[in-house]
Amino acid sequence: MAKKIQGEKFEQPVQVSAKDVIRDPEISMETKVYPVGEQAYAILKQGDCVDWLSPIAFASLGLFLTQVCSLIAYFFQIYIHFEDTEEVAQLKESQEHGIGMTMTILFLSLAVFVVLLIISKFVPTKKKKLLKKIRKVLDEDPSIIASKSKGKTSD
Amino acid sequence: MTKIDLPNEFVEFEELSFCSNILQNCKIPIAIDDRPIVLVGKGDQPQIWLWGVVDQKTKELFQIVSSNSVRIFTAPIKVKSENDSTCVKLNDTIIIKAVKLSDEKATIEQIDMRPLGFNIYGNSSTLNVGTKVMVGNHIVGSRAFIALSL
Repeated sequence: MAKKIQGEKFEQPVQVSAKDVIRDPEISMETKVYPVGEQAYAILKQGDCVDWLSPIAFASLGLFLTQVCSLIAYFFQIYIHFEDTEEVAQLKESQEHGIGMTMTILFLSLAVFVVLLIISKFVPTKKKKLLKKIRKVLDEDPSIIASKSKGKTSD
Repeated sequence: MTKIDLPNEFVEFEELSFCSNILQNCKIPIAIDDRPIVLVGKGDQPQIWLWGVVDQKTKELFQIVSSNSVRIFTAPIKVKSENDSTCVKLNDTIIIKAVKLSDEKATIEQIDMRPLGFNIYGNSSTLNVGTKVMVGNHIVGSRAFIALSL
C-alpha cells in the first residue's frame, strides 16, 4: 500500500528503503553498462563496412599495378625491343586490341580504388560514429576509463 | 558529515521543483548510499546527470548521462536539449524532462527511472518513490531530498 506524504516541510532527507525502490533495469543485457574502455574494445571488435571494403580496395590497386606493368611490357615489346619490320607492324596491330583492354581494366581498377578510398575516408559508418562519440567523451574526461562514475567529494 | 560524490561541473539550482515537491538549496533530488542517481544543474539548458543500477542484487551504479552527454553507447538513450528544456529518452520513454524557469529555478516535469532499475516515476503533480507518494512537499537546505538507504 502506497504511503502518501503531502504538503510537509523537511530539513533532512526523506529516508526510503532501497529494497522498495531498486529493481532490475529494463535495459536488456546487451545494453547494460560497459565502462567506456570496454565499449570501445567491443565496438572495435565488431565488423564494419570499411573492413570488407579494404580487401576490395587492395585487390583493385593490385589489378591497377598489374595493368601498368602489362602496358610497360607492351610498349617495351613493340617500341623498344623490336626493329621496325613488317612482322613488328603486324604485331603492333594485333596488340592494339590488347592494349585497349589493358587500358580499360587499368582505368576501371583505378576508378574502383578511388571510389573505395573515398567511401572508406568520408562515409560515416556505425563504427566511426561510435568511436567519434567515445573520443569526445574521453576528451572530456579521460579518467572515465578507470571508473564508472567520477566526481568530487564534498562535505 | 556525510561525503557526497558530485561532478565537478555541477552547479545546483537554488530552487528545483521536483514533480510538485519544492527543493530549496538542495543539491541532490535522489541519493542512494550518499551517491546521487539523478542531478539537475545549471546551464544554458538544464544539465542532467543520471545513473542506473546494474542489477538488483549488486546494486552497483553506472553512469548513463553526464552533463547532457550520453555515457553508454550500447543503449538507445538520447538527450535532447532545446530552448530551456532538456529531455532524456530511452526509445520513446521519457526518463527525465527538466525545464529551466529562470537562472535560479528549474522544474523536473517528468521522471521515469524504472527502465534504469529504480522504482521511481512521477509527473508535474506527484512523485512515486517505491511505496511512497510525495506530493507538494518542501525541503530546505538538505543535501538530498530522497535518501535511499541500503
